[in-house]
Amino acid sequence: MINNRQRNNRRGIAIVMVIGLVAIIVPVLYMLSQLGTSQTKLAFKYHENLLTETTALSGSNAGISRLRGNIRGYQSLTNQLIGDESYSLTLRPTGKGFFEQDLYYLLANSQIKSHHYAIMAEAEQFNPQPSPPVLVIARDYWNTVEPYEIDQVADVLSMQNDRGVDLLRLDETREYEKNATPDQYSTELLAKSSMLPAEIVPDWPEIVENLKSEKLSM
Amino acid sequence: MYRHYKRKSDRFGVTLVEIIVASAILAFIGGIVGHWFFLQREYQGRIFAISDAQQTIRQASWRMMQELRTARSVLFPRINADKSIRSDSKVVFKSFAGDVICYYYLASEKEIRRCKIPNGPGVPTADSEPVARNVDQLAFTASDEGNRIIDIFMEVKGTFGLESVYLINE
Repeated sequence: MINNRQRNNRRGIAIVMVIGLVAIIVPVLYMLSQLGTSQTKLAFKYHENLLTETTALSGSNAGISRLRGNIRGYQSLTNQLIGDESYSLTLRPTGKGFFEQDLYYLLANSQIKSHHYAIMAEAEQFNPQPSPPVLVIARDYWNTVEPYEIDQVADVLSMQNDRGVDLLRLDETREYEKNATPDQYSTELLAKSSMLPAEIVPDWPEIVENLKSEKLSM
Repeated sequence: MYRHYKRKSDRFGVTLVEIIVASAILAFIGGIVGHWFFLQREYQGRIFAISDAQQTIRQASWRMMQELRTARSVLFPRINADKSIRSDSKVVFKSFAGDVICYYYLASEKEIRRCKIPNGPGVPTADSEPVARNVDQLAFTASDEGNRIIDIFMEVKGTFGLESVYLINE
């Protein structure tokens, strides 16, 4: 038979043990949860980066498909789904080319949590000969991870300006290539060899040869 | 009187003996849990080291891929004359803006660095900060005939990463 005193002792032990166990188990559980969440967070961060980029690229391809299907004029499509993720697509007409082809800005972006990816290109849409699919030439793809909204005119102008800076530099380099003779061009580039990091120097002549072979002329 | 005192103490307190017995049991359990906790910390440390390595690989790959994707052409490495693949510890390409960009591996510092070489007059400039640190191995591989696909292989502290990037601009 258990008397009252023994029962009370057991109750006392139980109370102290419960308090003690909680004090041990709670930090352990917290540590384990942190282990899991930090791993998951790291894995998801990169996954989201890649997914944002892939989704935006899909949006850009969707834009080209629309132009090939003879869609003409302004189109702003937000929250188009690809799988579980959404992209936005804007086709903004900018005029006509030499061959009466329609010219567009092709803009696509995607956002997953804090990750953004926007891609901007120029697209030329020719008239159907004799029927769709239409010839579409897309060029000068430019990407950014800035949080631009491609259906907002102000943001599109900002993107145009950012991309324009790079295109102006491209014009400069192309002009230089066109105006220099192949020998002048390679001589000037080879002269930079002494200013290059040591790791690049051994292969620099081959790189210059490749640059020379692709040099623009007129 | 005695009964009343005893009932009160049963309700609101524990005796020294009870605390000593409970502490002994808790110390035993604590010892087992503590040992397990220590092992988990070690395991966690190893996992974090792998995660950090993966993160280094991902960040470096991501940064290089962003610039490579919109590049105009790859200048080095290109496939061999017999059309076999070719790898090197650096990649040189013409950027979106037409300048020559190089990502290269600095073996002595275990770093990936970036250098910009103006395509025209101007002085080459190397970025002050490395693209990635603690990189044990880096290889860029050209595998397609048009030299438009580059594979990026990296090793950081026993963790490996492999990415491919396709140049979308002509």
